[in-house]
Amino acid sequence: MNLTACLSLSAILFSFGIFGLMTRRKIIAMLLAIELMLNAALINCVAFAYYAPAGADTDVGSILPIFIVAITSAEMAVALAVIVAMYRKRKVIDIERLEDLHD
Amino acid sequence: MIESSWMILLLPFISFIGGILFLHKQPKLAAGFSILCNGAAMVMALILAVGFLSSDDTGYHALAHTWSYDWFAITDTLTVSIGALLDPISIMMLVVITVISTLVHTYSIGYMENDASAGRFFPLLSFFVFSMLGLVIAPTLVQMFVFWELVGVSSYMLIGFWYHKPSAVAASKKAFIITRFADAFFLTGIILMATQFGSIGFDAINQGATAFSSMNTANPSFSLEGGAVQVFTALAAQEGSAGFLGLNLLSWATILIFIGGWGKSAMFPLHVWLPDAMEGPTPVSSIIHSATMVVAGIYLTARLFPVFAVAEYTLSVVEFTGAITALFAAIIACTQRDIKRILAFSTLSQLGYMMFSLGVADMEHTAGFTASMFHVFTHAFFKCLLFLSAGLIIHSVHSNDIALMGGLRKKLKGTYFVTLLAVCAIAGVPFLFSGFWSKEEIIMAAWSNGHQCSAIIGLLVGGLTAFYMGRYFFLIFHGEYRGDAHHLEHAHENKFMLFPMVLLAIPTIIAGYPMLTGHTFFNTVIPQATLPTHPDHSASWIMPVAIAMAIGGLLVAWLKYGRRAVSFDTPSTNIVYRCISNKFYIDECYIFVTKKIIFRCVAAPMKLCDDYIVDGIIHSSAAIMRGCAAVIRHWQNGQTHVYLGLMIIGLALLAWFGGAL
Amino acid sequence: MEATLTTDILFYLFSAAILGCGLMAVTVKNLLHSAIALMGCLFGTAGLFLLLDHEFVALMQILVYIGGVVIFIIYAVLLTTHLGTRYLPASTLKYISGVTLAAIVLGLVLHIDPQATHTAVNPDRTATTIDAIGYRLLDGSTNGFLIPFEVISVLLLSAMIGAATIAKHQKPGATNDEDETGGSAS
Repeated sequence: MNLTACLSLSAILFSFGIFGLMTRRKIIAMLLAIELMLNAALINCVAFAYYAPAGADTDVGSILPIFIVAITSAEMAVALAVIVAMYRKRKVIDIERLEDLHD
Repeated sequence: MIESSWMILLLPFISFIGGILFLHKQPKLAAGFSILCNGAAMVMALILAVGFLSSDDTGYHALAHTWSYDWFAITDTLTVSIGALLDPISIMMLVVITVISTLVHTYSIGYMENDASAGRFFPLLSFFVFSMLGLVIAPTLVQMFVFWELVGVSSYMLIGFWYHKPSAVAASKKAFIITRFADAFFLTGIILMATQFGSIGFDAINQGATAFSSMNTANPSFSLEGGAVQVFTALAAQEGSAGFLGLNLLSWATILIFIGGWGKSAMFPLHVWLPDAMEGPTPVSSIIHSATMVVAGIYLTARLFPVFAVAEYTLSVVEFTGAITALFAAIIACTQRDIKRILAFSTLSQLGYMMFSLGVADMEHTAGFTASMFHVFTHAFFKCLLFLSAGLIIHSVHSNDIALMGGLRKKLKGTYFVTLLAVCAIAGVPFLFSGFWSKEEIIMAAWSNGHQCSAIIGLLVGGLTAFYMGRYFFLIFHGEYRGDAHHLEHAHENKFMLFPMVLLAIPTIIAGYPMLTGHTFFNTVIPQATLPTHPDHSASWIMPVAIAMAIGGLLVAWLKYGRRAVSFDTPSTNIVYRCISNKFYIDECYIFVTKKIIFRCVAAPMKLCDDYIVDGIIHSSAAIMRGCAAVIRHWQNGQTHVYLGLMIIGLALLAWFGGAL
Repeated sequence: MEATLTTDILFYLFSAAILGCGLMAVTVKNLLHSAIALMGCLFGTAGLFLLLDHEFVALMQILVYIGGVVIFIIYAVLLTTHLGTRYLPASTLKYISGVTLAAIVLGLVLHIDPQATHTAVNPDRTATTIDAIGYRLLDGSTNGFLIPFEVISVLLLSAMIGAATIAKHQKPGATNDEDETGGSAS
């Protein structure tokens, strides 16, 4: 177990997230993929804090995840609310059928 | 007064700006404002003229640039300036234009009273007057050209004033295109003149030319300065040079400039726009025919007379053009039935008089020049009067066709009398009327200067004029009414319309009397020339012949049209008559030339070139852009995945470059 | 925790769990299953955080992510797609592009990662205590995170209100502030 192993883990998890984002058609599933990517970011944060050199401010490794998690949950709340409202209104959660949203 | 002469120019312009910006919704106010401004201009012009006449030195030395401002410099020596040039002919024109414009504006109140767009009419009319005033006082060819074009564009707006009428639109386009065609030559001539002489000021050109022409005469002593020296030198260098096509450059330049006047003054064969210009409101016709537009060509020729006289052949061209036009238009006028067309052709004929009168003069014998300017002066008033009365008649009987008139003397008494005066004036009824004196002067000048042919044409046209004006008069006012009786009952004379006509009747009579008093107003126009010679009265047989022609013409008209009822029911089958009444098919020739020859042989290949080469370049560049856009467009399709993919690629690139750093 | 064989084994176990669950989360057809797989992935991550001496983050991961966010997601799945049974297959092109992009990003990150230095654990390091985190968050000096903390609080509040407003059930033609039956997502 070392830093490179941790970073590789998070990189692979991140690329899974990208893969999911690109291949999923349901909006909720895409959100799920985004969660994966954020998770990878968290791993990075913590790993860097753990393997920090002497004298570095390792508290940040705990504080930054707080912010990440807070922003993620805010984003999730809004995104899920939008999805629910949209589903209620249009009965569609397929992203490919929502292309008129760009108008 | 001379110092503030620019006010004369400014006032109609104020009227235009004020009217078009603030008063176009209130026709009455616009009319009042226009009349106020033009009336003020008229008063100033009259004061100016009186001051000019009463000064001791009324010759060329009184000529003054009242103000002059350098506009831009073309070369070190050639500077275009704008300003005002006041000399006898420009002051005379100022008086004529402002008087007529004021009266026509007044008349228009009555004429336009039921027209919704009258608020637009008065400012435009003022603008027309402004343009012509600017043309008249222009001290340089360039300024003249600028105002010349303004005259063209304002006449375009006024002829097409009723723009919902297709015929009016066509007529305004025709007038504009034909005069533009001529103006192209004018501009070429100006450029040639500027390169030849290094000067475009009338002052310098005329002084140089006068000096040159008097080299061979008794008193060649001149003190020239400035541009005039250059002109003199250039003229001397020109003499005897072969030039192009047998004409030297001076002749080319002057003839090209003259073509500008040719188009504007509607000389044959560029006359076709003038009869059609009748589509405009009648006040516009009257002002075009008397003061503002068609005399511009005459004025231009007069303005540059010394240099025209020096140039070989130019004055012959002027004379020939004028004489042909006079005869040609008079013949056509005898057969027309449209009341305004008759007057239009009579104007053409009278312009021909003025033109050939300029052509028969030279620097030694200036009588023709004086006579021409004299005729401009007198003709303006009686022609304006004729048009105004025609407008009133049309307004009353709702028709342009003299076949539907007749017997109107009972209903329109005032019009009858003033028209009678004007007809007598134009026909040359002796002694009492102004037209007699000026026409007489022209014929006399032509004969005494050895242009017998032109003089005879002049006499002949005098007879024809009397005939067709008599026909016009008798068919309208005498005999029995031939039109719709309903209109006749409502016929009346609007006082706003009648009043200016009555006023115009005064100069119609008295404008000829300066001739009797030695006419100082006209005879001192040519700079520093030998004293003008009065017409050689040795040819004393001319006056009785002219009188006989006039009386004879009127008499024939009376016998043919006035004495008994005339029927228009059967169209004449006489081939000569038909040819004439169709205006010698000149319009048809134009249409043939433009549609069949120019459009097909010149325009069509150009269109092909335009379609496939010029447009092709544009289209293919557009097609390339469209192709690129078609590719890019698919990325902007609302598919979130596409956006996401692109975003990720962008982020990856960013990371790549960031990592590389 | 000291780097021992045990920790290495644990690390690889957790890694395998994280990656396996993550892959499942993005590939299984049933949306509910993929939400549960995400939950497993997050659990694995929490374990990894414990392994890396970040107990607080691990706790937060379990409480907020698994307890909050993933439950949200499952809720939304249930609300919208009838247990997420209907599968929407992606086109081959999307699979190809997804794999390509993922490979590109992975290659890029793996290309950059080895540039990180200081890969050894600092022997003097101490685990971050919750006290320290609390003090740092409420520290108004340049060293502290007071302002971001307050901003994030406001953000959370507004996101909550916004989510409630958006998801509120609207009758056709009704205005926004009419009834209060919605708000399920929050």
